[in-house]
Amino acid sequence: MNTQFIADGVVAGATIALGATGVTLTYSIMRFSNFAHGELISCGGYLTLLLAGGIGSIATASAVPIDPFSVGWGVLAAGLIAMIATGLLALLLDALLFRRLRGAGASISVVMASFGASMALRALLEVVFTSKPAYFSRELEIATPVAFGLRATPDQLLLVVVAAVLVAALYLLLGHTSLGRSMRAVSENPALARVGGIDVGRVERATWLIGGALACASGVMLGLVVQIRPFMGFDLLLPLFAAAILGGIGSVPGALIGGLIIGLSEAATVQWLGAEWRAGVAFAVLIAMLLVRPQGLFASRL
Amino acid sequence: MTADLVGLATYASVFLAMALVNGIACLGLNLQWGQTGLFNVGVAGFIAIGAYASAIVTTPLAQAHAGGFALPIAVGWLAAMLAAGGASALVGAATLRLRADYLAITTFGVAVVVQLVALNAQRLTGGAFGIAFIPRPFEVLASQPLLFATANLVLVATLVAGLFAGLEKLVRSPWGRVLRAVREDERAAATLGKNANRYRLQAFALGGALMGLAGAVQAHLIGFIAPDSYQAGLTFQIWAMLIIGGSGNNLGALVGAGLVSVIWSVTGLATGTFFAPDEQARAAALRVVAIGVLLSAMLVLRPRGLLGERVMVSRHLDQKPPGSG
Amino acid sequence: MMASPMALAVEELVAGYEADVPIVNRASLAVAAGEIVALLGPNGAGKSTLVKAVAGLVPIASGRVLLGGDDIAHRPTHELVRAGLAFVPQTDNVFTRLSVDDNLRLAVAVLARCKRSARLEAGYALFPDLRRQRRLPAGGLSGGQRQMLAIARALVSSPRALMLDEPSAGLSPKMVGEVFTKLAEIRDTGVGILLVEQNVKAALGLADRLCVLVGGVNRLDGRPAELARSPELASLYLGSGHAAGRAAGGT
Repeated sequence: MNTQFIADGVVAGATIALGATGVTLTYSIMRFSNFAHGELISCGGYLTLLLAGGIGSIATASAVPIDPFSVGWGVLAAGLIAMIATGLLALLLDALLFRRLRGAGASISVVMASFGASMALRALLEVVFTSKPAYFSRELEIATPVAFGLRATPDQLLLVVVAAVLVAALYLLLGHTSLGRSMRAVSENPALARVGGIDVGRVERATWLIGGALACASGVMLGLVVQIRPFMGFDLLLPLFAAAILGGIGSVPGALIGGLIIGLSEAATVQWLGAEWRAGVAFAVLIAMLLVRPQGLFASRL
Repeated sequence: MTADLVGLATYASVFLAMALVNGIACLGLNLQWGQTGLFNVGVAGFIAIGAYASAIVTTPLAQAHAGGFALPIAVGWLAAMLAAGGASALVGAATLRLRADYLAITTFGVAVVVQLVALNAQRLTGGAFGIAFIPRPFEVLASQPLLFATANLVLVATLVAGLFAGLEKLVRSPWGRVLRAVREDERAAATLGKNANRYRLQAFALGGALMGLAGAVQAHLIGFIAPDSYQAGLTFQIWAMLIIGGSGNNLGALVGAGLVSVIWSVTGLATGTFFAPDEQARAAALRVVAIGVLLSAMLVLRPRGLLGERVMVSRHLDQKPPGSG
Repeated sequence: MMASPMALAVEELVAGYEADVPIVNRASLAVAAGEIVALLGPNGAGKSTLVKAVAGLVPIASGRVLLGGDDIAHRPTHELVRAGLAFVPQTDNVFTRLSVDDNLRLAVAVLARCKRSARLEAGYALFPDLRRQRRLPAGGLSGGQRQMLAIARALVSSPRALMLDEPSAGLSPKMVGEVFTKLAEIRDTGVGILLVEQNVKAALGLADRLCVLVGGVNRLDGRPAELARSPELASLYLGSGHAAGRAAGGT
């Protein structure tokens, strides 16, 4: 049996897992499904592209690819800055739009608003960048054998490592810092958190920053191994939600496992059924979970 | 001169008919959201189901896609309502007992999958080429554009009038009252002994059926359909119509449909005139930005829309805790 | 303004979940430092709502809440602990998914950094059982232990005033005794305690003063020794006190 899909699946899964983590964090603390999360991913990708270009024009050495990867330190530095910028963008969206609707009563309005914001942002990206796909680098990469007969490009390996590092960092944050404790507390019982002295507003703002940063990382990865286009995040939205629900919405380890499962399923589908059916896998998984075990694999939160 | 007037009148008739068709979908959405508080993010998918169902049922045999039944248009429209209503019922049955967000996510998934199937299941749907030669009402008049357009307009207008009257009656009926009670305070409604989810399911299915009908009517007015027409942008448009016109209010749904259709056409003409041909795609995106911003602004500043009632949710749920400024 | 000797004072408080339906209707009470005041009353009297309003969980329509002389009635909820007011709700009063240690660390987080580990240690010293269970998720504790954790959480933040909503609910008599002993110890360190209780007999044994609420407003105030002998207390609970109160010129 051709097991290459495992390699492709893990790579795709890492990207999905990062995005799903952001979605699940937003859900567990802000208690709404953010349909604009896909656009945070896309904006992250484009912001990195812009910044990399800017850095490249100041320091031409930054554009020189670092062997064996296809990009230079310019893209990496741009990615880090863009993570902060995307976090701020998420904060801005909340301040302008979501926060005003969250307390107002009809909590589903905020989901609607996120859908509207996603539409506007996506179209804005198209206006500014056109719908032509863009790339971080013109370098072509060859997939070389890695282990167990699987092949991967150096970029793909970098992606998986970076994703693992980010997830580990988040895990440490949640488990061993004051902010992480506060986040877990708010996720379980916001009223008790308030009474206990936790500034829930501050926790929410931190969540937006973290979620935005993770989304940006996801976008950079997608841009690195596939391409950058205005619909990149939106097309990822269904797999993101499916992964978050599969893992148990509100659970960070769940989002990780869910992402990997969806990624592997998609890769398997591409290998055996054809690439055109890839998008249907997430939906199939979603429906199956909702019918069989709606609370997901890890029912507990965060 | 008269030729210009005739041309203008024809255009106006066609435009109005299209706006009214959007209105049908909007009425369906109003039933789901405005009356019942259910959030359907996959409206385009249910419209597509109706369009394809009707097309397959009424078109003559063709190599490119399923069909060959060549049944009358009315049957096609009925099939559309059944298909879309049935799909809505399935989705509802699976998700209504769960969190409200899950319905949103699932309907979103439905739209994605419908698009996927329409594009890839070539033998069924004709793939990217879609289905053509869909029989149009008053086909015999097709050679006289103004008469043809006007006849179709009258047909659609009559249909919408009938639907509007029916829905208004439904809203004021005991069934409609229970629905509103369920929307506003589920716990109170439960104590009345009404199975809240059964009512929600009925409303959701009926709303979905209306969306399917809208898809079918549109398919028969234009004569051909393709997967491209049923993307997220369509869902967004129908939502914009409802939010701007006024959710919870059937008249608001129709007014919103008309208004947004006008804004869309006018901005379309503007971008067509003021932007170079190679800029058209970006200009179209600019229009979407405008609508998106308008929608979000409406939600924040005037959630009831132009005509709608105040969106009341139970004052006990979602109440902002004191001291959380 | 002269510093008030009262740890906590409530003046003419009007509060309720909905603005036009006040549950607490011009109630007043005061808790001195180093004193336990028990808030009693029949079901629906508004005892729970009163403490929740003071704690910032229920909207206050009018009236004053004084913590050591400062009016905190309209301060954001999360600032109250820092100001010295701690609240132990009746249910859902610990974070079940966090460990005992995490629960307590969260509680001391409101203090200045230099004080935190000292207070954490003090908490464990006062509740040695919790030290043994520090790594367990709070949800794995028994009802009584959870109550102790909830009280410990409130205590480690060095409050001036401590409010508890029916801490004895659902506990075995032995556990109730342990909880109340702890509360007496805490009182002796100078904290003012406001205790909402349904268990009148136990409250009579623990409290320094009683305050009886009926229909959202005070009906009776005084020392347990005085009130235990008063027929009014019994009748208030049995219902006939309502008529007696009205006949005696009550509102």
